[in-house]
Amino acid sequence: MSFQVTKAVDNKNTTTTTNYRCGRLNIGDEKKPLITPTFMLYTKEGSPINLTKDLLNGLPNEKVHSLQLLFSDLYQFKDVLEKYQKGVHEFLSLNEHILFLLFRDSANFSADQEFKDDSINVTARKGKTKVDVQEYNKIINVIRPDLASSLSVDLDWNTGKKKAIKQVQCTLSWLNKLIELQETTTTTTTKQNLLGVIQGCKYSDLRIKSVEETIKHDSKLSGYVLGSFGTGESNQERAEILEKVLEKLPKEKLKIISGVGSPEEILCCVEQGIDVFSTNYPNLMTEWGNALTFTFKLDQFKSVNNSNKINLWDTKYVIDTTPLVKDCPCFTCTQHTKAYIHHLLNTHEMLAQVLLTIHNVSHYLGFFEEIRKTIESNQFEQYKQQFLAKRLLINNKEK
Amino acid sequence: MTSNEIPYIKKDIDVVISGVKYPLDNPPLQFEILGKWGKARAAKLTLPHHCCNTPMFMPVGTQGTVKGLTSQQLVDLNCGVVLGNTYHLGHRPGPEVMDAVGGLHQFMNYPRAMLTDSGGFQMVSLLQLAEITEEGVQFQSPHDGSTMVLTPELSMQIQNSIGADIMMALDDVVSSTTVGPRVEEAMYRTLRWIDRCISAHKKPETQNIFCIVQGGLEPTLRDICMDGLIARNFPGYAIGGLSGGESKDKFWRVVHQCTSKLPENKPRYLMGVGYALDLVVCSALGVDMFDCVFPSRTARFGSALVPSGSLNLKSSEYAFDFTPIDPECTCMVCKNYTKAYLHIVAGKEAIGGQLITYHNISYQMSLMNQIRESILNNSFPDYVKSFIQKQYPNKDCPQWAIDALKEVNIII
Repeated sequence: MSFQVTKAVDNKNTTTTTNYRCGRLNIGDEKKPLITPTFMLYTKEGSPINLTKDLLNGLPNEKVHSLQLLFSDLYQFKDVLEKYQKGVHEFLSLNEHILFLLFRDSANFSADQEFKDDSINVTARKGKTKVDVQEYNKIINVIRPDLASSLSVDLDWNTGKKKAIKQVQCTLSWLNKLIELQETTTTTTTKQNLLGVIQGCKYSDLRIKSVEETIKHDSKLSGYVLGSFGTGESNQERAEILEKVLEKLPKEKLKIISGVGSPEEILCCVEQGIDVFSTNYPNLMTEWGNALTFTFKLDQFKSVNNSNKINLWDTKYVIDTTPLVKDCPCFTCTQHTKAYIHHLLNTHEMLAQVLLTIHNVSHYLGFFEEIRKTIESNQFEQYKQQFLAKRLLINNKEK
Repeated sequence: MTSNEIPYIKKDIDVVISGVKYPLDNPPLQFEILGKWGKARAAKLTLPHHCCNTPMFMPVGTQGTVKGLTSQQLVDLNCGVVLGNTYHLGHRPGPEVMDAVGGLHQFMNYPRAMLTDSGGFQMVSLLQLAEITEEGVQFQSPHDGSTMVLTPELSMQIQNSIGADIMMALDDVVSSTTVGPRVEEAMYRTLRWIDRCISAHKKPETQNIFCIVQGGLEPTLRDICMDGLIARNFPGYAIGGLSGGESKDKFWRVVHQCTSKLPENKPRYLMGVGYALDLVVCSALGVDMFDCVFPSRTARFGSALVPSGSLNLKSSEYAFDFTPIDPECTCMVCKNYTKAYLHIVAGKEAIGGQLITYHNISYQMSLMNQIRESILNNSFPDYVKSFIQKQYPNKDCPQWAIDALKEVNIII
């Protein structure tokens, strides 16, 4: 596995440090490079929600997608994967995509996740089970994702310091142990691409300690997951901690953040140097019956756009035969109308979610594609500024 | 054109019943039989939106969607006709929306042929909410409690707005287990309503109207009904009032009676039938078209259709089964997913319903394709036998099927 920063812009001025970049992640063969910044599709029981294989592979934009597999989901069928032996890609029929195994569920953050010195509690359909590092090591060798997070538990931003210290310490000792196990118990062919997890909630001293200790293993790590974000912090608080953390993390490694995913948050985090987002934002929009409509093309900010998102439950769409977004290349917009999707929602038909998912995911893929383009063409800062101004203007109007 | 608009001049060959002229002028339908084995036929049915091969199975898209599948997936599955339900679509989105968006084809963006029922079947399925008079059926909407009187005229008006290739005449449907004078009354009322349907049909140049044979399980009533309908010379005939809990022995005899009497050169549609064995037997009896919610409904409960019957994928016996649903099946699901994975999502996650529905529709399509091919290459009895061998390896094929097939000289 290799990660290559293909374009980087560092700016340090008095108020902020910007450090955004484009990158290319190669897993094994060169056939499925992942181009960053990007986001991981949210999955349930291993499948991207509402997207059968033909629909997933029919999404416009890039052909290789990254997906976040949730450990507690996969833990439930670890026995099956063990017996299957061919790994999770083949099992989920996701060979052409990149699979990240993560602990944090970007849709349902539960602040009261329990852990002990030697193990964490995994909540699955059948109840809670303890998983220690040894067990986790065994399981990731069975699952064989493209990248696997080290064992860790996200906590609420405002967690008391005592618990946060314990979180950082446990995360570090689990990482030590996991690396040790990977070195000793597995052959080179099955060695996993591990991601170190930076914890410490709102405490900058803990965050820095977490970084310093974690990067001691840098040569054994494929990247870093920034944990416990999107757990109640303000944008300002997040930016401050992120700056301190990212400054100290090795530049040439992949940075992943979970639980942060609105368009505004994404632009801010990208600017600070985040490469991959684990978010269910597009799916959340779908759940609410929303279609994303925000303008994301740099050359279209001046046009008269109208909305950031629309709610298809609204009866004003009853006979609206226009697509969700004009000129959107996705299946939903090229084939279907607002009126049809309104009707499907209104009659509680499953296809409503399928069509909205296709659009919302495509819309986000398009958004990230534009982010990468503007970074490549040195226009990112201008892009971010105009994007946020336009969104704010429309949001205010919608209120 | 309709009889009210054009002054009618009677010709010798024309039949006028209840003031309506039959046969209908140039219905937009062609039915060409390409091959036969006994009563079974393989044919080409050309409709305004698609040229279909029969015998065929028509998936049900009650509210303008086959649950969970995109219209592209329906085309990928090589579906021909897809059904819409007049009662449901009449409620939501309603005929005004249908008119405004240019009909159901446009609305759901399905490029191929469609068929709408008359709304009459909901007389049976929502009976406690319906009251039947000579004028029509009075329904109470389960959605908002409002009442709607579904008359033959209104049924036609809604179906004209929906714009399907085939519309069904409003019939007086009684449950197939009903006996006594109500069955006779319903049969005669069906005949009276048929002329009102034809008079009210506003788009005869783009939409076909099929009539429905009623008469319960009474051969004499079925006969009277068919006489009345055949005299009117419809582009296609449906056999209604079956598949509602009657004994299979009575069921096949009614089908056999109808397919023996209905005109050879017209398509025959057996309503609400979709179990594999029923499809094979009724194809042998000479039925051309079938519809049923079963394959998609059972999929959402985690049940997958295979040549040997069906698999309940929720069962723990598949937890470690790393083979596809059907190794012979070439559908997207069988090419990519194992039973072990489907076991995890079957009946639980939306994706489970989507995947198994996709496979089950594929199964129905391929079953009909095999029936058709075997009729065309003269190996239909062999096909039927091998089908039954696979479904009933312990030689426990239901007696009614053996009897029905024997009637058309296929000896199991």
